[in-house]
Amino acid sequence: MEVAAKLKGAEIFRSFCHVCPYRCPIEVYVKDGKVIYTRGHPDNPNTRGKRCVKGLASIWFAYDTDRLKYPLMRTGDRGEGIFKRISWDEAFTIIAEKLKEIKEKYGPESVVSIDHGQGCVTFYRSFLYYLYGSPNLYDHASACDATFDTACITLFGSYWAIEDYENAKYIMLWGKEPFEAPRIIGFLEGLMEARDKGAKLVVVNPRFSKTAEKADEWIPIRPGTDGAMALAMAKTIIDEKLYDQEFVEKYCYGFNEFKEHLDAKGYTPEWAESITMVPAATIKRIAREFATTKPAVASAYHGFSGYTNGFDSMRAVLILNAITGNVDRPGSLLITGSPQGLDPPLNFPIRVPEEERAKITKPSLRTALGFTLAPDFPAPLLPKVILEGKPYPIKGLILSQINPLLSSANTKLWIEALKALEFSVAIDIYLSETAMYCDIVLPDACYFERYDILQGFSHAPMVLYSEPSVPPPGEAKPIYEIVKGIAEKMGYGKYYAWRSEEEWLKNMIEGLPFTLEELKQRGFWIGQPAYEKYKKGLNTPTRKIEIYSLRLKAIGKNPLPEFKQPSVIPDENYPFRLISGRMPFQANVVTQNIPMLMDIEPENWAEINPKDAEKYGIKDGDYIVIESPLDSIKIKAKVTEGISPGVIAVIHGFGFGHWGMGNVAKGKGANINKLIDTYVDPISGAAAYNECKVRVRKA
Amino acid sequence: MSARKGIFVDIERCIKCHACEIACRVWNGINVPSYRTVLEMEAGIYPLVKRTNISISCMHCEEPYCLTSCPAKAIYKREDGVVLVDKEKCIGCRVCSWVCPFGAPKYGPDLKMQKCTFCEDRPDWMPRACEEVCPTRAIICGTIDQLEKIIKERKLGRLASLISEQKVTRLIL
Repeated sequence: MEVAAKLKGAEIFRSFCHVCPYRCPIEVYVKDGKVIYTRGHPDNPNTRGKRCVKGLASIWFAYDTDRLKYPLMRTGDRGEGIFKRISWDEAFTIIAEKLKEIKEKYGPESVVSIDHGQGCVTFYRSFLYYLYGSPNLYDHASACDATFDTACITLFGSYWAIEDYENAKYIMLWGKEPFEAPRIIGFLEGLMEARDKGAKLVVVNPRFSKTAEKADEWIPIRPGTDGAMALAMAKTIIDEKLYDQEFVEKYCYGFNEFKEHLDAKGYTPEWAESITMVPAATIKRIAREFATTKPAVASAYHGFSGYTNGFDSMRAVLILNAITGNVDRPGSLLITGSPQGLDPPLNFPIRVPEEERAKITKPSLRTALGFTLAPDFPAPLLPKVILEGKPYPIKGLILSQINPLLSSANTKLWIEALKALEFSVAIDIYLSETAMYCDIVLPDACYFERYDILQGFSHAPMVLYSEPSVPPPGEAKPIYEIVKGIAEKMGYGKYYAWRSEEEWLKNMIEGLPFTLEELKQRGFWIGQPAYEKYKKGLNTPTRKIEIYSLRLKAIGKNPLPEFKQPSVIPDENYPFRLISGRMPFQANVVTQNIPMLMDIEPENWAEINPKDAEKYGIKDGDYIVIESPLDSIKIKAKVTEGISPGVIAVIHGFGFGHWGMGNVAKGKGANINKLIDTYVDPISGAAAYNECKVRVRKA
Repeated sequence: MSARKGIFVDIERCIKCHACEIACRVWNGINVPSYRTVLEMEAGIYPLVKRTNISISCMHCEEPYCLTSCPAKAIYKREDGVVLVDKEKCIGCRVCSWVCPFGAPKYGPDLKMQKCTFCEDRPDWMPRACEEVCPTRAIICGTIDQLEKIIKERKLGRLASLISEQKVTRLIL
C-alpha cells in the first residue's frame, strides 16, 4: 500500500493512551526520533481506528518543553515552588531514608499513596504493599467511578458494567455524558448508529449537555433528585406489571421486598413530581416506554457521584435494567465478568514470596473509616485524617500522576494538610500545583515512553500492551525504574533484578491464554464476550442480581434504595446550586498545557439561565463572581437557555485555574474546588462535587 | 454518476468535540491554523432548546468564488473537484477570504493563503485526517456518489423510525 510521504520510513510502535483512564490502544509513528503521528488501533473495537480529541492533541507531551526533566528537591517553603536539581541517586537515598524513618516512628501504614490507577503504578503499589507494609494505596476512584463501582458490586457482584449502545433500542442516560466526556471512543459511533437505526435516546440532566443536544428527549431535573424519578419509574413499571416476571423470578433476589418497599415509602410519580420538577405524566410515560422497548439500557455516572445520596440513586437506576430483564444481553447493560472481566486477573509485575512479605498489622483507612464496600478510600477525607491524626497518624504521602489540589474539593484544607506532612513525593510529568508542596518531585515518563500492560475496558476480556516509542525528556524515568531505584536503596533490590523488561511483562500475563509475543504483535488481546452470566451465577452472596443487597445489609446499611435529599440545599443567601459540566476536548487537570486545546477555549465558563442572568444584570460574556460559604472565584458567564433556572454550571470546573503545571496552562480560567466543602457519599466514598450552594454577582 | 470528491458533514451527528480541528493541525503542522472550524447555534427557550453543531472547512465548491476572484490565478480545481492553492503564485492579497462564504481561507506565518487540501498528501486508502478521527462519523469524505448513498441510508433510517414508532421528539410539559 502506498504510504503518505510524511509517514514514509516511520517506525510503528504499539501503545495505549493515558490521557484519561480509559486506555484506548493506539499506533505511534516515529520518524527521526520524533513522534510524528498517532492513530487509534485500526482493529480494536474500543477505538475503531479513532482517537479522541484529547488523545490526538496529547502528541504534544512528546514535544512539551515545560515537562519535568530532572529530579527536584524542595529548598523553598512548601508551595513556593523553589526547588533544586538533584541526581537520581540522591533522590532515591532521601526517599529510602525518609520512608524507613517514618516506618520506625509511626508504622508503615502512615505512608499513603494516591495514583491515577494506571498500569505502571502496580509497581509501587506492590512495593508499598508487599515490602513496605502499607495498606493505604489508593487511586482516583472517589473522584470518578466509586459510586458506579459500588452499585455494580452490590447488584451484580462485579466492579463494572458497560452500556451496549450499539444494539440498544432505548437508551436512557442520567448524569452520564458520552458526547461531552467521551471515554472509550469507539462507543460514540455505536450510539450514533443506534440513533440512526431508530433507537430513542433520553437524557436526564439539569443541563442541556452535548448528549442532551442529540437526545430525542431532554428531561431537565432538579439537581440531586434523580433517585426519586428512578424509584417512581420502578414503581410504575411494577404497578402496571410491565416488568420481566420470568427474569426477576429466576435471576433477581429481593424483588418482592423491593415492591413492598416502594409501596410502603409511597414512591409514586406524583410524589416524585413534587421533588424532581419532572411531571408525573412524563415519568409514567418514560417508564412505560423503557419497560416495553427491548433491548433497553439505563445508566448513570459522574453526575450522581456529585451528591451524598448518589449511591442509592445509582442503584435505583441500575435496578430499572434488572426488573426489565435488560442485563447482560445484547443491547442492554453488560456486566464485565468477575471481578474485573479477566480470569485470572493480571499479576503484579514483581514476585514476592508469601513468607517474605511485610506483615500488615493495622486496617487500611478505607476499612477503618467504614467504607468497606467502596473500591477506594475517599481522597477528600484525607486532609482531615492528616490534620487530626485519626484513626492513626499519616505522615508520608506519595502521589503519582495525580493533582488533588486542583482535582479534589476544599483546596484550602488540602494545602494545610500538605504543609502538615513530614514527607511527600510527587511523580509527574509537570510541576503540578500539588507537586509544588512536595519535598521531592520526580520526572515521570509519559505514555509514549514506557512499557506497560493493562486491562482494557470492554465486555469481552481485553489486555493492552505498550512499548516505548521515544526516550523520555532529560533524565525522566518510567515508574518501574523509579520504584526499582527506591527499592534497591531500601534493601529490596533482589525483587527488581530483571535483566530486561520482558521478564516482568511476562510475569504480569502469566496464566492468561496468550503469549507476550502475540500481545506485542497485535498490541492487544481480546477474548470472547460472555453473555447472561447470571445463568451460571454471579459473584454476589446469593449468586443472583441483588435488588435487595445482602452485602449492604451485612454492613448495617439499607439493602434497598431509598430517596434522601442532597446534603446541601440552596437557600436565601446562596440561592444557586453549583454543578459542573465537561468539555470534550479537555481531560480534567491533565491537558491544559497543550496549546492546540487551549486555542479552542482558552478559559472555562459558567452557564446561567437568562432569567437568572437578568435578575443580576449579567450579560453573555461578562465576568462574574461566584461565592460559596467557603471562597469565591471570578469566571466568564455564558447565558444560555440550556440550563435550569437556579443552577449554575461551571464547565470543566476543576480543569482550569492552574497556577503551576506549565506556561500554557497557568492563569487561565477558574477552579471551582475552592468553593466546595468536603462531602462524600457515605457508602461509596465518592466525592460529592455538587454539594455546593453559591451566589453570583457581576465582577 | 459523479466521481467528483466532496465532504459531507452530518449535523445530526456532529457533537462539537473539535477532534477534526485538532486532527487537521496534527497532520498539517501544529503551527498552522486549523483548516476546520466547529460552530454552534442555539435556539429556543428553556426547556425547549435546540443546539446545532457544524464543522466547516473548504467546501471544494463546484464554482469556487475564490478561484474566479484570485488576481494571481493561484487557485485551481483538480479534475476530481478538489480546490487547491499554488503557494508559489499566491501573493497573500486575501481577496479569497472576502469572497468565500465559509471562511475557509486561512493565513499562516508566511501570510499566504492555506486551506483544506482534501489531505492531498494522504494516499486514497487512508481516510482524510478529519474523517479518520471524527468519533461519530459525522464527517465523511468521498465521491459525491458515495456520499449520496450514505446520506440516503441515514435519512431513511431516521424516517423509518419516526413513522413506525410515532416517536415524540420533544419534551412535552
